[in-house]
Amino acid sequence: MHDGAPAPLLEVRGLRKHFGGVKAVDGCDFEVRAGEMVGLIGPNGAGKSTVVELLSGLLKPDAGTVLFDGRAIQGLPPHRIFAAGLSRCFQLAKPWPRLSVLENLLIAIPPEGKDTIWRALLTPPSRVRAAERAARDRALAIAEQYRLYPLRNDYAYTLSGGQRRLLEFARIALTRPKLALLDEPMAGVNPVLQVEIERGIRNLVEDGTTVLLIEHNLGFVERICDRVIVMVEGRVAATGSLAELRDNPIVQDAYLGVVGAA
Amino acid sequence: MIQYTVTVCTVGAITAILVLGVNVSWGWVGQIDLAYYAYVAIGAYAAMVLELPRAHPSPTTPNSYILGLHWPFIPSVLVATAVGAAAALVVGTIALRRLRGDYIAIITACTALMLTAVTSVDNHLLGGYIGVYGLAEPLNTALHLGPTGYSYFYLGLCIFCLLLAYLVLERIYKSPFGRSLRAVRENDTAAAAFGRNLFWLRLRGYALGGAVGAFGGALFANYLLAWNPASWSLTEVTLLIAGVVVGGQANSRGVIIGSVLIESALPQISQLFPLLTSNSTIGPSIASILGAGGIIVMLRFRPGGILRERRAIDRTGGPESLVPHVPAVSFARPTTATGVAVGTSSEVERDA
Amino acid sequence: MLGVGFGLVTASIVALSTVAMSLQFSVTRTINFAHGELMTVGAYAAYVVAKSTSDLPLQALAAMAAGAVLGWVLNVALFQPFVRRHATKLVIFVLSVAASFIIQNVLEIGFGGSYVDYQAGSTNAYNVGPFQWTEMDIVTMVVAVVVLVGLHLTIRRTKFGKAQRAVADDVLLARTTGVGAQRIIALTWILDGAIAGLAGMLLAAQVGSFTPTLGFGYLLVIFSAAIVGGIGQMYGAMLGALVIGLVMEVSAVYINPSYKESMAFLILVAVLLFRPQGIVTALSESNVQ
Repeated sequence: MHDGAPAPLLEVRGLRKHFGGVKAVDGCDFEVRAGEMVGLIGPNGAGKSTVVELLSGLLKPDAGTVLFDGRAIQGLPPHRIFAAGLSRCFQLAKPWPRLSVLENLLIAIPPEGKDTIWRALLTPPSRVRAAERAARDRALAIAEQYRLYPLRNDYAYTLSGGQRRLLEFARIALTRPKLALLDEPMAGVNPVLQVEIERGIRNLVEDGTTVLLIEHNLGFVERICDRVIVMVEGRVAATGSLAELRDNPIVQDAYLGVVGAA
Repeated sequence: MIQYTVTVCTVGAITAILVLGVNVSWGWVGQIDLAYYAYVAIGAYAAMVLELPRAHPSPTTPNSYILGLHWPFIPSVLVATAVGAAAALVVGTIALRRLRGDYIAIITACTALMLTAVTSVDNHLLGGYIGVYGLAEPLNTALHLGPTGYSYFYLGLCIFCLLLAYLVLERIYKSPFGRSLRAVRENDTAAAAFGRNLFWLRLRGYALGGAVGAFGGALFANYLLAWNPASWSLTEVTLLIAGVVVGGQANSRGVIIGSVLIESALPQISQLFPLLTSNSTIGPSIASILGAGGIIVMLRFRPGGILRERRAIDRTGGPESLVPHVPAVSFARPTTATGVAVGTSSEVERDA
Repeated sequence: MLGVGFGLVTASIVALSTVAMSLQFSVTRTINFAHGELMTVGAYAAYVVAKSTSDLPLQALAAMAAGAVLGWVLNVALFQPFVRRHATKLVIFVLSVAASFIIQNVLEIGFGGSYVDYQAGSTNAYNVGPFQWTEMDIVTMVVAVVVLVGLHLTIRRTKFGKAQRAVADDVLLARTTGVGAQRIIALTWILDGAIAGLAGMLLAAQVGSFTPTLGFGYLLVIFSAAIVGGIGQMYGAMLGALVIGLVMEVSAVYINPSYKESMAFLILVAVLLFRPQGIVTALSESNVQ
């Protein structure tokens, strides 16, 4: 598809994770190139979400390698993977509930080692204020972009499901990652906010972020993804554009048929 | 009467410092730390053995203690604070490895009881159950104050230290470090996904709490001029926790108010009850029951405490103010005791 | 060998209490800091009954009833109102700490803070192989084995046990599939209280005299055994209790007995450092970071 493309940004080889007897991810191979917008689809229980957990470091793989930007990141703790430039949003949005939206955004700005006790005590007040002002301006600009500005002073727990989702995107946008893993961003969001979220994802891509999107809504996937990866029973069954894959018997059998019937 | 007031205020100021330390681990990090009183005791013991002269055990008083360096007051308190932080680092390294709050509670409680057992049984480490005693009033060799004058001086010193601890902790709370800690408390998975090293952040928060506890303990020992294993127990920690819960977790001013309420109200009540019942022993029990009952009632009906935690808010008018330099840095001030004042300003802005 | 003999008796008592706590924890996911008070209340109930009758089964019944009632009250009056409002673990834990203090102090008002004497069973000593046990020691161990086997059968063979395991696996799922989760949780608390109360009575009989802090002083030993075994694991809890009980009593032969409890904690620290998931690990736990 992308002949002569540079080395992939993300290269997953033989990724495996079993839970007891359940083979959630069972020898999964795929790659994502820089600048791509890739959809990861598959029936329920195909192991898509487990892949996200494994890539972001919340789960440790049993076997396999994950090369990200030329570095092996499999098994690293989440904060190191984040530092390498890989951010993720959660299937169930996880804001920091008893903090304001603004604080949620401020925390998303990568700390880069600046959040230490000594720095808090020894930095002169003028520099503290300047740094705080700069961070606030950045956070508020993103808040505006993601329609969160009017809500900036509200506690995050008061947000609706869709607003929480927007907050997730805003947080990811603030981290300026190389790759963003989006786990079902449309799940449980009303149609009005779905438009906003689609816009949010496009914003991310425009800012130069590569996106790996897990989604059930195939229309949405077809609209925004260059390419899709189909997972079935813990393995990659096929890759290609959604149009090509619609005719693929394996995919039809495992996934599209099910959706069509539903 | 005045002397009594000075005593109450001095102990109150020291208690307020201690509750500020508890608030770091409970309020900021959201960790159940039952070893806190051990750090207070470590600070107290450390200050004592640094300031006291070398022990001279005799057949009648066989208990002795380590060090006995006869150091001056200020370096002793500083070193005691550092020792408390170091002890918290060691305990934290063990307790925080397993990232489950309830485990931490159990490990810290075990640690505290272990340290109590060791200090009370070993007669030559820290004087056993008799403890360490006989400290001269710190700084008074230079000041030459009378008993009354000195008590005023020490009260002033404690209030100064409370102010210092308050300002330092407020600054840390508002810093990126404080924010990271609260993110870990609110949702650690999300905090890790946004680049926070959970173990390292929690450990540093924990050590900070231990340091404040040891600092307060050193001041306390220098006030009592003696310290022994009976000086401090889980009961005291429960009262401090009560102060945090009643006052408002993660709100420095709130927890100080809470601790003052608890510490001043409970002794009065416990003195009152024996009069009513002509039974002299149940006073402390009634006080404990009321303290613990107060925690439950507060958690049920006002979980945020008297003063709720403050959140950073932005008071700028609208999107046009996004041009740099305009936004003012401000932290919400709870303008009423109910702590809900913040909501209104954002309400107005949303309509604008 | 004397130490091992004492260790087996101690382990029996620790095992009863730890298994009760583990069962309660696996079903309710509540760390109950007032667990020691279930034991203390049992001990005081046996002490009160012992004043009028020396009948051991009657005393045991009183201890179990007192523990069961307290367990039920804790659930209904304290924990459930908060669980319904989705209180955090921290809040629930603080509640149980507060409950622990309230119960201790109520007992202190009722019975005084000083030691009360409790003699149960005969102190005739028997030599069994290399061990020397009193009649009460043997009763203690037999009772522990009978209760633990009974509990095993209850959980594996009865409908109640099956429902209990369903709730332990997933409260929401159990609720939707028609298992009366609330009823199971209530019954679990009652069972927890009854066994802990019995353990409290046996402990009181061992030490001979006690105060309102009897159970509280033992609490951390029980937590240690539970964590060493793998918290929420019934069989792990038995193993943990055996390890902790033996280490405590055997070490008391060689070093200062005041360090007995500290030895239990040292084992705990060692386990946490080298095998933080406990000796026995559940599959579901192994994947949680």
